[in-house]
Amino acid sequence: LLPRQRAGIMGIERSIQQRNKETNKNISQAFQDLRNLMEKAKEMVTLSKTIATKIKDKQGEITEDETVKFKSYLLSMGIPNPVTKETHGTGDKYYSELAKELSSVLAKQIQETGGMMTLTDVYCRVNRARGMELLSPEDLLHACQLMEMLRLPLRLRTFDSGVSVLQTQSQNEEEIVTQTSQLVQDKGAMTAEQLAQRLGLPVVLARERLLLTEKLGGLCRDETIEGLKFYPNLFLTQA
Amino acid sequence: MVDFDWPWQYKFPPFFTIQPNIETFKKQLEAWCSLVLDYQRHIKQYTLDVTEAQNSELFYNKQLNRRLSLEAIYVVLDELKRRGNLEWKDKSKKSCTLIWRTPAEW
Repeated sequence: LLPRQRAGIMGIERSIQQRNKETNKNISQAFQDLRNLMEKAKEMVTLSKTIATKIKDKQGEITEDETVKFKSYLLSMGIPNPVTKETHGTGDKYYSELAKELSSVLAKQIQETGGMMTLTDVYCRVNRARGMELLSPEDLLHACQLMEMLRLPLRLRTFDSGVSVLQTQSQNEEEIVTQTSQLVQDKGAMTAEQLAQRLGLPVVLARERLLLTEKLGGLCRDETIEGLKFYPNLFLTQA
Repeated sequence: MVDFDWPWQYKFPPFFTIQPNIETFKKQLEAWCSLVLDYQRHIKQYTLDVTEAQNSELFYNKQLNRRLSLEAIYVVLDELKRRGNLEWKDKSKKSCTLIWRTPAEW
């Protein structure tokens, strides 16, 4: 704080000037540091690239320990390098460990929500539970893609519409279809919102269920300005 | 005139939406083709004007408040043409002649 005797307009102006100078110094210092850091990172990138080309020579020998190590280096630098990475080992240690962690944490929760959860919901839950060391959407996706290969109780599934979900390995598609068409039959006709309410599911998932059942011939649609409604497929069941 | 005996599909709302499922769509198209032919035979009309038909009870079920879209009407008519039950009167496909029996049957 400035001493009292510096009061008056001049004093105020001078103090503002002083403060500005200080911030400017801080900012330029920060940028200077950043530049140095980036310089170092650049070196790392070139280094990792040369290693990548070296690995290329020994192509085909998958899941070598060396490659795995190398990948964890790349990850810590935040350089996703999938093109060269994919041929040198299937996925990374980080992702496979993450996949295991996810499936142990989520298996029960997903079971409780009807065996299926959208990836955005998963992302939300995991990161909310973590608080620190959050996951990036990409990390989550990569980890989930590995689940099938690791024989975990969960698996990633992408619907025709592009919606990705995590689903329990035990969930049976046919069961869903018969259950859904039964529900629609009982009601006469149903919209995705109605089904969502009935089953306590998110609307996105209810919609996917209906579309899946339609795809397999269990339902047919009635599209109007009021919305999309699904009916039992009388075309196939009634002569 | 005796009332036309509408098929059950006519009272089924999904009948008026083109079905994305191939199997279902085939059945739907089949039903539409026979409905158009039966209806025209019932009202004893050989010609069908597309714009007019769009608002006729054939393609517009007022009770259900459902109508077949123009696009879908053309799908049905084109299928009838493919089967040999229909001839277009002009190139712009505005009106057509319906043949209940195919020329081969005559």
